[in-house]
Amino acid sequence: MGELLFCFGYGGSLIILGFITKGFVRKMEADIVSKHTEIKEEKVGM
Amino acid sequence: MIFTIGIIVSFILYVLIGIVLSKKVKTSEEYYVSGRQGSTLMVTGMLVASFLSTVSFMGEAGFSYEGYPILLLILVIFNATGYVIGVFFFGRYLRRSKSLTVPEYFGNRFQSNKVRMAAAITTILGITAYLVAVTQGGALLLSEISGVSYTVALLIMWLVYASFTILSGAKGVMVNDTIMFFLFSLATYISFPFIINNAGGFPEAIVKAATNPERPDLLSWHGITGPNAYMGEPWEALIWAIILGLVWSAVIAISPWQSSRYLMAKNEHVAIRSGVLATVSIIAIYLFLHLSISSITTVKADINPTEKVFIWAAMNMVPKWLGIIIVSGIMAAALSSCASFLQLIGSSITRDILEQSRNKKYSDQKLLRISRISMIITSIVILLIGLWQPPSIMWIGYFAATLFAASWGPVAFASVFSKKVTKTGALWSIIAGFLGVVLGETLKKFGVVLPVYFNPVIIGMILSLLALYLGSKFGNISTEERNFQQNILTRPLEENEKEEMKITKRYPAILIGSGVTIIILTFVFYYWPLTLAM
Repeated sequence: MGELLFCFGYGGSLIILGFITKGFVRKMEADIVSKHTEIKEEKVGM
Repeated sequence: MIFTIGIIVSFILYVLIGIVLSKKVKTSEEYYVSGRQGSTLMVTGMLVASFLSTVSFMGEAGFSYEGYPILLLILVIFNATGYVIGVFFFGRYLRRSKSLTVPEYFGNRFQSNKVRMAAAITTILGITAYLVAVTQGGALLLSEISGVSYTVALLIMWLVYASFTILSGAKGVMVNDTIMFFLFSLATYISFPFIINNAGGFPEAIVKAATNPERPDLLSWHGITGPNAYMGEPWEALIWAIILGLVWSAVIAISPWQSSRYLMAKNEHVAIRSGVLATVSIIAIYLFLHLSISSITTVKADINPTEKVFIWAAMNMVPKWLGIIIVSGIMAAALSSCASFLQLIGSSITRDILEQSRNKKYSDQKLLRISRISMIITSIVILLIGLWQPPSIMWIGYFAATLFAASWGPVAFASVFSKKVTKTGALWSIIAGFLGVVLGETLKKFGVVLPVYFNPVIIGMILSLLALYLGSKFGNISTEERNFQQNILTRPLEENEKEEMKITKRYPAILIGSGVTIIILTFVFYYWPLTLAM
């Protein structure tokens, strides 16, 4: 049983890290959008 | 003889690269962080090469051979997470600080020379111990293969890594580390089918390893346990693997020889991609290395010292050409770590200790010259310690590495995210963590048996956290500290941000795809043969 769990856990850790990375990258992308919006708003304000 | 020639050829190549690149080093930024021009491939190469050393290919290989390959891989499940955690929670912020050394980052973050000094001193002490262990491992290997005495082998090792590191600094280390990364990765992957074939073919080799009467339980998840074994009970073995795995994860995330590699990345996207690729590389290399090692037990069960197991396989179980790649690969793993360690120690002595203690700023050219002199002196001291201290590759390496998890771990993450940590808290956290590990190790030396969940690094980490919390009750946080923290929390946008983001967005899929592939490979090469043995 432990051996089977190990099989899933060893590669599975990469899958979990993949989803964590996906979350971070999405947040980075959202930051770009909000930054671009800020810049546009500043230009309009000028 | 042919193995010695192979190693000498690789040595000459590394030194030549160092000589050529030394001519391109004009500024201290090029010498310390390779001009911050590292590509994804190069930063990945550096991350993996400075992590894997003789500790991995000799110390851990020996431990695996003694009966714990799967337990070690369980440890790797946790430690490999350090790259993704490290780059997202510390590495990218460190890179934004534009520091040349990690202690410099701590000093600037807390606007404190004392904090910088404490970080620099722990860097120098911890990495010196690690460097000694790795150099000794390399010398043992060289001595075994070439037939020269251990002393001569140590001298040759020293001459090679010290020469290209001193001459070309981070620039040479970056190129050589990338070449070395390819060399030992190649050695691990190609040797796997040959070793399995020599041990009886697939799946018989794994079946034999699982049913080997000399090593009962070798391929069980917990390895060999019992009153006379290194691990008492299966649950103790598991706790050991989880604790050390998490500790190593912290080491990968914040230790100077890992986190400082992000300082060399061309941009933040490169840092993130490198962290992802390094995770996949570590998981894959360890899987194939330790499955190979377990099958070696069925061919020869009495290799002594066990640390030489992979070298024995290179010389006796695979064709000569592959043997040369393996021994050169292990030497490369040793040299790449030695080079990174020496570069870090030299940089810290010059920039964080000499410059700060004299309270003056060197000109760029003077900084370059003094850095090289510091590295020469440091490397000589390392050589002398290596000659005097008996080799113990895995355990000195583990001690030195875990020192950083306790000493730097809490303060590194708090430096980015906490708005309450003061310089007093940071200083005492570094000191308490360091002393906690040393205290725990000293107790062990005096024969005190600590329970598995009370490893010295746990003692250090608890003390470090307490000191961080209590110390932060004292002192104020200056405007400069707040501004610095705010600056590193603001993500810089690249000129070609959209294109960079497009590439980075593929990396989660790379991790997930690699995970699925690794699960399939683990089933095919480990679990399925194991079911045949039951």
